[in-house]
Amino acid sequence: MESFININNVKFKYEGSDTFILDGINTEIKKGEFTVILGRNGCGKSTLAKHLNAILTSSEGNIFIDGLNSSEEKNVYEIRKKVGLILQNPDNQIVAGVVEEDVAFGPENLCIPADEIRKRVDNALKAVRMYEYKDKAPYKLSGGQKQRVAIAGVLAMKPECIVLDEATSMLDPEGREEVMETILRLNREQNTTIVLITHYMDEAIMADKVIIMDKGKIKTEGKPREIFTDVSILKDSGLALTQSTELLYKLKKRGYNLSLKALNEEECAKEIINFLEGKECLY
Amino acid sequence: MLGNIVLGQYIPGNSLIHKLDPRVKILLSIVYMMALFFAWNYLSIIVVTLSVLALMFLSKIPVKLYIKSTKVIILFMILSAFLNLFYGEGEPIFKIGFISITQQGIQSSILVVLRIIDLIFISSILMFTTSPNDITFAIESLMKPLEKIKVNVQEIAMMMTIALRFIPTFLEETDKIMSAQKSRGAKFNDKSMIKRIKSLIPILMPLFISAFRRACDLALAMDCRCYDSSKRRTRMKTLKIGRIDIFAIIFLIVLFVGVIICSKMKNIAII
Repeated sequence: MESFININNVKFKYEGSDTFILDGINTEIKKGEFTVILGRNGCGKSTLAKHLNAILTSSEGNIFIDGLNSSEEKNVYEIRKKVGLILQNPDNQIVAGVVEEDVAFGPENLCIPADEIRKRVDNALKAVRMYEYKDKAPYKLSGGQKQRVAIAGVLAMKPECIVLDEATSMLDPEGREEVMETILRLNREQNTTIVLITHYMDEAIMADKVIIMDKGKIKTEGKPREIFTDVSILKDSGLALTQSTELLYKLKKRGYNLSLKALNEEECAKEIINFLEGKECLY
Repeated sequence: MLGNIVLGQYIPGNSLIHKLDPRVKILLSIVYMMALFFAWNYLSIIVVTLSVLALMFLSKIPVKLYIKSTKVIILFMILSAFLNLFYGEGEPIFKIGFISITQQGIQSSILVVLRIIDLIFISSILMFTTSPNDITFAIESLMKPLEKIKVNVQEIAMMMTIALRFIPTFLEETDKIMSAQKSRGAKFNDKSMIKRIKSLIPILMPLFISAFRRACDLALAMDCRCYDSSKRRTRMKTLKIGRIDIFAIIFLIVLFVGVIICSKMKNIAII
């Protein structure tokens, strides 16, 4: 896979402050990849998100987005066209009083002709399954629906990458599922690069790559199955284990010879059944 | 408590009035208000009121909502009716001490009440049938000549859109804050006026703080979506004057002339 975002030794601190919020980040995000960034509050993950579409620019080091250096003022507009950012609060990122007009806001800013905007808005709303709500007022929608409208608003700008900064943290479980399902579908069907920032482990299971951040640094990165096995690193970074890993971990501590590599309930159940039947580890 | 405010609420629909060009609607509302200004006798006000009722019917929006929208200023209505009652000249038909009520006084208070109601209904028709974005779009388009004297019309329109968009959000939030304060023992129905005003502080403070927080977030979200106030944006919806708009303009001209003629005619005595 081609590389899409390159982060080279990025450091960031606010002016007048001594502490680095980002303290030497090095990583790469590939085109079409679904990356999850995990970490406790204040670990710098939201700050990193704002670097990915040039809202903030690094104090040291460089970020290249599709080859464009985000520190250069002339690239900012182009970068924001390529990378859409969805924020935490669904209420505060909807600009207009009607769903379709809000989705049109981005393309209008890009000075796209009216009939092309119309097409893009309809397609974007269909992609997040909100087309039948296009004439509704945003405040009448549920949290999950609002967040899907926000995603449509970004989609209508035809970005190559969507960054979601704790976009599910203010939603109820149902809304969270709606949003997760939507971004997974975009990733699979339209090959959109997704960077999901969260502190829910469950959302990270589906990822191609997991990055764990702590105190402004990348603590570890890799495939979910590799990362979630490493209980000590997770506990160290202040992250809660998924329920299945927790169960296997506790059983293992009691001396049962289980592998921790099962990620979801189903795999976990199979692993335990296998163990009881005296077979080898599955994963 | 806040549930009955319906001012500034768009109700999506497909009626004739909904389909009118928002620019035409705004101009027509202004003409209507001018017509009301000329309607100084019963005949002319009846003509205006009937046409307003017809428009309300055409808008296909429940009458209930229109009536609700008058509730906000019912006090003002009673007050102006009451004051007008005593300011008539001519033969008093009723007299207690220095207070006298004349036929003219009764007439002007009836006219004032009808006028206020018509005014509210007209603005409600405009607000109910035109999306806030359409209104700002129309105002933007009507204000375009001002760009020649370096007014950033687009920016003003954006501010209006955002203000309108956040009204329901803030109403909802006010409700939540009030419930939160009530659950902690705050009283909002104290008899003393001063105490009542003081009791608003714990509502307004959190509301203001949250408004600033929301503003920061929104500015960020707009930045993310490439908003640049100095650049000319395109619009998805383009406005076009259609056939119904021309009909509406003709209707209004006829009505306006009619009202002026009616107002010159001799008053029909009702009382």
